[in-house]
Amino acid sequence: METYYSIAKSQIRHNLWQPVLISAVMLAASPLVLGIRNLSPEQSAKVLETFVALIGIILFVPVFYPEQDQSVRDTIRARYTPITCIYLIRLALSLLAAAIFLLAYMGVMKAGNCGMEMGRFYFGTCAEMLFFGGIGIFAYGVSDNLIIGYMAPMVYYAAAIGAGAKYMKWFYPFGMLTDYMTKYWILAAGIVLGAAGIWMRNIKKN
Amino acid sequence: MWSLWKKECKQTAKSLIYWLYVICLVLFYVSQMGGMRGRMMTAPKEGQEDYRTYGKKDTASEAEIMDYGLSRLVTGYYLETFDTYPVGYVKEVNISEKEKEEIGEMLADMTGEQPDTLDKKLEEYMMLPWGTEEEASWVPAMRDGYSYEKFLKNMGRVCEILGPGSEFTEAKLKYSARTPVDYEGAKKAYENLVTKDGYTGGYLRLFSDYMGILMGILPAFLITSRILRDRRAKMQDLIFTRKTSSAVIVTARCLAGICMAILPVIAISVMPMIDCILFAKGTGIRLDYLAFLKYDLGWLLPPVMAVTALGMLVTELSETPLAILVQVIWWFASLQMGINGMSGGDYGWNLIPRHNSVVNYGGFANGFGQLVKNRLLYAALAVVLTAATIGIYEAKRKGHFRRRGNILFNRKKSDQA
Repeated sequence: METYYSIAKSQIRHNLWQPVLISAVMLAASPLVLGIRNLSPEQSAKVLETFVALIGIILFVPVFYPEQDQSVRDTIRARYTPITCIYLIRLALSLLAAAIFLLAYMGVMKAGNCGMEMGRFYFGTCAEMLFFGGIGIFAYGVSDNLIIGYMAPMVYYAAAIGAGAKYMKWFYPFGMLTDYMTKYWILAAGIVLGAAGIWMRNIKKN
Repeated sequence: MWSLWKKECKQTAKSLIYWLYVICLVLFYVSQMGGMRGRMMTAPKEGQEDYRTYGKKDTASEAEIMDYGLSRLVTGYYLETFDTYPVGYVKEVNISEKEKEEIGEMLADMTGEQPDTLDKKLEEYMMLPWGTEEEASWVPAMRDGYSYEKFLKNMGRVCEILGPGSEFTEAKLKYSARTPVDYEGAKKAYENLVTKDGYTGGYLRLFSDYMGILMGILPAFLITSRILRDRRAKMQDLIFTRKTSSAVIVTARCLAGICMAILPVIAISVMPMIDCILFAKGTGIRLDYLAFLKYDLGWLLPPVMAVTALGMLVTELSETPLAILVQVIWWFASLQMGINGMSGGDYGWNLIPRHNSVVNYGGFANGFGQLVKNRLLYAALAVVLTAATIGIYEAKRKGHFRRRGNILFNRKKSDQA
């Protein structure tokens, strides 16, 4: 347990603070350019789905970044603690940060009289964050290239804006008010892709 | 210089990210314009159901603009809140009592009503069920003879009150007040497409609209990955010790990044050309066979240059993927700001100008001057950013800006070194 605590502490101190800081600045600065008061459910969903969910990419994708250097990776793999365990701790911390940020943001929106069902919108946005994060982790795990990890979910995001639900069907990320079932699908896809990314990363060591 | 450029191009062509980039472009094209072949624009027929596919009128009359502006102002005044779109997202602006009073005086002046009776009449009108406005005893309308200049002066004051993103600027009112074309308008739009646009021009403009979205971000991934690859392979110090000047290294890399990014775009842009050629066969339409090059190089190349140059600068400076975040923010803001001018003509200074229509040649012609200025600005910006990158690269070679265990500052004077 002490090892896990120490891994988490080290992750926060050396790595996680950067994406957390960027996400915090991004969300805190958003009221300067987009309204988060008196929004209709449609407008609230748009803000959460097309803007807030982007922090999923910032928080989840750099999960393998501390071991980007092959020699560091080999050293960590030689240790007793499984590297998968380290990745899972990092992801849990990122998830916690994402969940807190989203809760705070939605709290501010709710206080600003925005029309939305808290539980439903919260789950839907969390699912989307995990989905974008999962795509990025998978792309990073397969390619061993952080830039590809960022690129994959951004391209998906752009494609979803351009193509819409007609082409994306179950995996359309912006279906909060049009087809809520998509949220369950993208959540499942995000988890599967994230797990596959970690698995691929581990396979590649051999 | 050119041998280095060739090497850089080869390196890029061998990378996985480049082929992912190409696949993205192809998939995006297929999903957005792939089904065009069976739905090419034909001449309108008199009496057809509607002419929406032929776009909106190029301009709105002063009366239409004033009526539209008044209707929007009345709604905001009644609700005491206005929707603005500073970066595409709605931002609600609540007006104070004093501002409401000021707008009320404007409305009274424009409608010819007494300020004290206006509110009451307005309330009755706004309480009517949707679609029954015609039954109203009073409808807000501009009073006869009200001058357009005075109206614009009022709208200018409203814009000052509401701040950025207001829908009451002259350009936005002119744009939004346009109505769909009738048969005559549709005929004119088609004629413009065939005669002035050489038919292919309209399709290549639509192609540029779609591809511009990707060109506003994807080249940043290519160049950032290329530079970070050197750092990861610990090649930087080796390159730094070479005789080749910083200007040559940076320029060759930048040019290679730009060329490799635009090359697949040029190749894909041949597809809509082929669609047009097949359609026009035997119709007598005189096609513009060079449209694809005009739009690829004139419309799409400048953002590729600017995005690549900025990506290089930020990556050289930070030695992290920060350039991606910077570009995502710029891209996101540009994309959102473009939403209000989707049908074209309203190009402004946006990195991603929109023209999501095969027609609307009139809008394109009206906004052409601004579009040229816009594209020149981004090309010039790319040159400035590349020059700055050369400076940073040179400084790094001399030991400045080094991080992560390397020399942070060159503390020795040159004569001591």
